[in-house]
Amino acid sequence: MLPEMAVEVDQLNKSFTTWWGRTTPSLISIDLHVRRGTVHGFLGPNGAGKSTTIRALMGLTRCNGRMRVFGHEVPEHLPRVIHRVGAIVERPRFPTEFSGYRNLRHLAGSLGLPNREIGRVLDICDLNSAAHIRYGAYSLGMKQRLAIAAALLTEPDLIILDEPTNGLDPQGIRHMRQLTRRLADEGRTVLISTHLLAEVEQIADDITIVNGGRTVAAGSLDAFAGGRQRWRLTLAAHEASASVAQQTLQQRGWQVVPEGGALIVLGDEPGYAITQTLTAAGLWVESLTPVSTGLEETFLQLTAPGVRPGELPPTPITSSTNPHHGSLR
Amino acid sequence: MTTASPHPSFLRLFRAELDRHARRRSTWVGALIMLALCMVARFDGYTDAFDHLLICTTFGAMWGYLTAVANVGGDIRSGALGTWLTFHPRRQRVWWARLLAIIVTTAIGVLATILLITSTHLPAVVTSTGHGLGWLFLVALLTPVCAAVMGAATAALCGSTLSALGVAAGYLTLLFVSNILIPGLSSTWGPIAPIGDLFDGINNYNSYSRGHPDSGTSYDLPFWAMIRLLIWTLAIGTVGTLRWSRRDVD
Repeated sequence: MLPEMAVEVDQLNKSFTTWWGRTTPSLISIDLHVRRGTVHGFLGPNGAGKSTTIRALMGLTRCNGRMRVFGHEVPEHLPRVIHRVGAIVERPRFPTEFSGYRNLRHLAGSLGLPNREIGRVLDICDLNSAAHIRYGAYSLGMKQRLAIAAALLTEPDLIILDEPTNGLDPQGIRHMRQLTRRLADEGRTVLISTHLLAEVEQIADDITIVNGGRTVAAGSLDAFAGGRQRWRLTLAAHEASASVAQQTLQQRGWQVVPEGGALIVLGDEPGYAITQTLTAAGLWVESLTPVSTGLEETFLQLTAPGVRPGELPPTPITSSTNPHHGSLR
Repeated sequence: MTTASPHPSFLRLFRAELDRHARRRSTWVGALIMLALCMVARFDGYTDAFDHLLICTTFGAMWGYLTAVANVGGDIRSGALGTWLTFHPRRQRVWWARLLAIIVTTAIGVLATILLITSTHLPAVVTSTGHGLGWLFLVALLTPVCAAVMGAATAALCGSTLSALGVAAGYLTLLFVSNILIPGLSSTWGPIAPIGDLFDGINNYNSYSRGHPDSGTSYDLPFWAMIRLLIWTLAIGTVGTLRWSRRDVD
């Protein structure tokens, strides 16, 4: 039977020793469990240890603790599974004097892949028109897309994306979100480290939050988000209709809070049920947009300065095969 | 889903490294500069075929060191090495493939330069050296190759092109100063000493073969100088290899 976990990291820790002998821990105890076939958001503030963890997984930096990828101990047995892993690790770089195509060709050649694979990944990342431009002349977004193209060269089962939306414009971010979802739909596992909580909310199945070199929480997105959707509602009428709308929605079981000229609606039913209800009451909706669920609040609580794992607020985290799911650590 | 070979061959990796190294601007611009400098020396007073060989060797060694440093140090510093190692986690394999690519490029570049510079009077060289020609070509090739290996190892140790160049500049400055303070010391320590002895040996051999031996000439001197050069290269190369395999990569 295949192992269900794509990535298992237990009690990963690392310390730096300065020239004058002072030891500073950069990772204290990171636990990360990524289920196969899921999109896993790996979240944390700057310096929390996300990139170090990913670098350790890819054998770029040495750490203590236990790490497994598809059941293989890494970094010892990383060569056995590396062909199943595609990764971009924190601002990946290529030699600046070669074109994007040449850089991919070097990679493909060294991996024994045919050149047609280069065209395929350039297509996926929408880089065909810039393929023969020197890498040094690329914009940040193009560099990021080239790195993603490289990560997809081997058609990996596990894709590790460390801050993949860095430097991307809104179209690029959207493209990245769609690509990530598509990869997951194809049955691949995606581990994505990012600061963009709104993006993660739209694509992730599971979340791990780290802070100060420790894993502080892990669980399914629903558990983090509290399972309830929030909507920002504006009405195509004067303010008086807002109070009528508030009453109407509250009678149907939604929680409604006025915020500026809009209403924040919290409930379990889909958005169209709100418009149906209001239309039936003779109220016209001007806009209805989903807003952040509870993830942002939970994230900010868990990563607030001075909060230690033992002092964390009791967030309801449930689920899954992950031994750490269902607990705040 | 996965199409890549789980164990890509060393030959494929070597070919990719060779292509990367040969296409680097530092490699081919450096080669053109080396050729230009050799040409200037060739047509500017140096008429002796041996002198031409030594000039090619000297500039070839500088070129080999600089390109190796630019390749290894540049990749580490820029972060390109981290990207490369993400696909090739066997670091030793990458190191040996890269080193071999640097060695092959240096050897071919220097050999081409030597042939170009001495092509017009190669028969004269052959006539004057007789059976020593092969030995001289070996020395002329080996010196730049050793310099290239030392350059790659120094860059792996220092982690950047500038630091590795600084180490070379510092070493040469130290030699210069120490030679002023203690005359003759520079010929007894450091990897440049056997190179100097190799050149002396070739000159002596040249003089000897022409029937005008200098006093104290011994034409087995280059052999031991070569052994010493190889030992230095091995020592610095080993330290660089170890550092490469243990370095945290950004």
